[in-house]
Amino acid sequence: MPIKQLQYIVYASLLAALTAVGAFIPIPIGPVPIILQNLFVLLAGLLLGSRWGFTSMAVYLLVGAVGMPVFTGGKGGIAHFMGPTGGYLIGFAVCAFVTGWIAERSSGRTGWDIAAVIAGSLLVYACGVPWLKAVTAMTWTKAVMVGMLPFLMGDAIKAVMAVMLARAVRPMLQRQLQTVSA
Amino acid sequence: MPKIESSFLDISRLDALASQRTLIHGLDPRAKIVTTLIFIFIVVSFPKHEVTALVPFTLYPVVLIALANLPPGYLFQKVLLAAPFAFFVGIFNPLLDSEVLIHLGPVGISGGWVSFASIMLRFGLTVGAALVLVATTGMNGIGAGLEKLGAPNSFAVQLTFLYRYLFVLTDEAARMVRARSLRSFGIKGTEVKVFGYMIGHLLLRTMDRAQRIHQAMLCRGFTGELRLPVPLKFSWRDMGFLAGWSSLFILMRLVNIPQWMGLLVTEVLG
Repeated sequence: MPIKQLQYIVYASLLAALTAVGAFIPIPIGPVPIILQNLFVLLAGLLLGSRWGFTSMAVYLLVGAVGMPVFTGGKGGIAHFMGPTGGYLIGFAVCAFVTGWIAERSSGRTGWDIAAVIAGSLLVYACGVPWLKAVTAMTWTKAVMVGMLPFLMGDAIKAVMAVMLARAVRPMLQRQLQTVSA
Repeated sequence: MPKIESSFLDISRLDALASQRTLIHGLDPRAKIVTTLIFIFIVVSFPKHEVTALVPFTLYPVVLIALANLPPGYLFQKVLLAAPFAFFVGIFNPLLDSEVLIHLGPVGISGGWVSFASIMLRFGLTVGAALVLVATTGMNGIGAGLEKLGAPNSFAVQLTFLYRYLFVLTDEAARMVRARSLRSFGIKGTEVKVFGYMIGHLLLRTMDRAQRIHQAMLCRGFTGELRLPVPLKFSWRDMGFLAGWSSLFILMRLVNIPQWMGLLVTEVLG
């Protein structure tokens, strides 16, 4: 296995582990506490790009599916994919891929990073809300009211934090990757 | 924050269970992974109103729990943790399908309740089988097994890394949250800015750790090849386990054993 690939695997695994840890750290503001999982999903895409961001989240979901307590509130198990939040979980992998895909083409420009996190965040809802509607037999309006609107403020904060953190950490990450290449 | 630590301590209990030496633990991970996948596939393939034909499938987790010396109460508790999700999926069925499907004496049971029971049973069986797999194989064994089964090497390596890093980062996050709690006298509300700093620190520490881990791997000559204490070897015993259980699953899928036994008893009594 090439050295650089091994390094990406280490980073992808650590970001997946951070996503799991993020499920336990709620920010107590507003009516709905903000869970940090999405922040690390966005960061996986922004920092690792589409391929490794996606792999990172796919492994995270697999570990959760076999029963490890990595989902929100320390839950795990394949049942979560069939439940009302299953769509959001699948959305994590899609979000990391698309965020990474846009970020790869951004050449470090802030505007593109913002577009990447907005697209990624919306895709989580694009996967989660229809799934929620299908599983609970809610109307579209109710599914959006319950599964999207209460979280928008938190997502906006997380998106801003993701862009700021990615821009701060990226030079360090690139330096580390270049050190290995050299 | 104690929740984070207790949740991950729970993982280490599964790890401890996976390190036992029993007949089932000694089987090749590939045999157990493929058998579990076939089990899940067949259980999920039943029609939505099927309940009785699913009952014999409890044999697989029960036999493995007994042979692998696993604590049934602990695993049952873990299955129950997932139950609310299954409950939420199926609870609307009785409202949507009220047509009576079965009569138990004078009581009529609607199709919705039957499909609800079927969903709960299927969830219990699939979650139970996955837990038994982890508790008898361990994440390292599953990673190595998946790689040998053809999963991309990077995926399998990442799976085993993630499993280790969960403990490392849990410790890191728990220490940070504890420090904040001690310095702020456990105050509940926290400014977003403080959380921003905390997350930034956590991310930087993670990146730093990633660099150190990678350098340590290079120093030790790690090439990305997953190694187990005992190299994987697919023996006739593993083949027997896979073929035996798979044949039984197919038989139980094709023949409704409880119904067949009921008919037999009725005929004998008649």
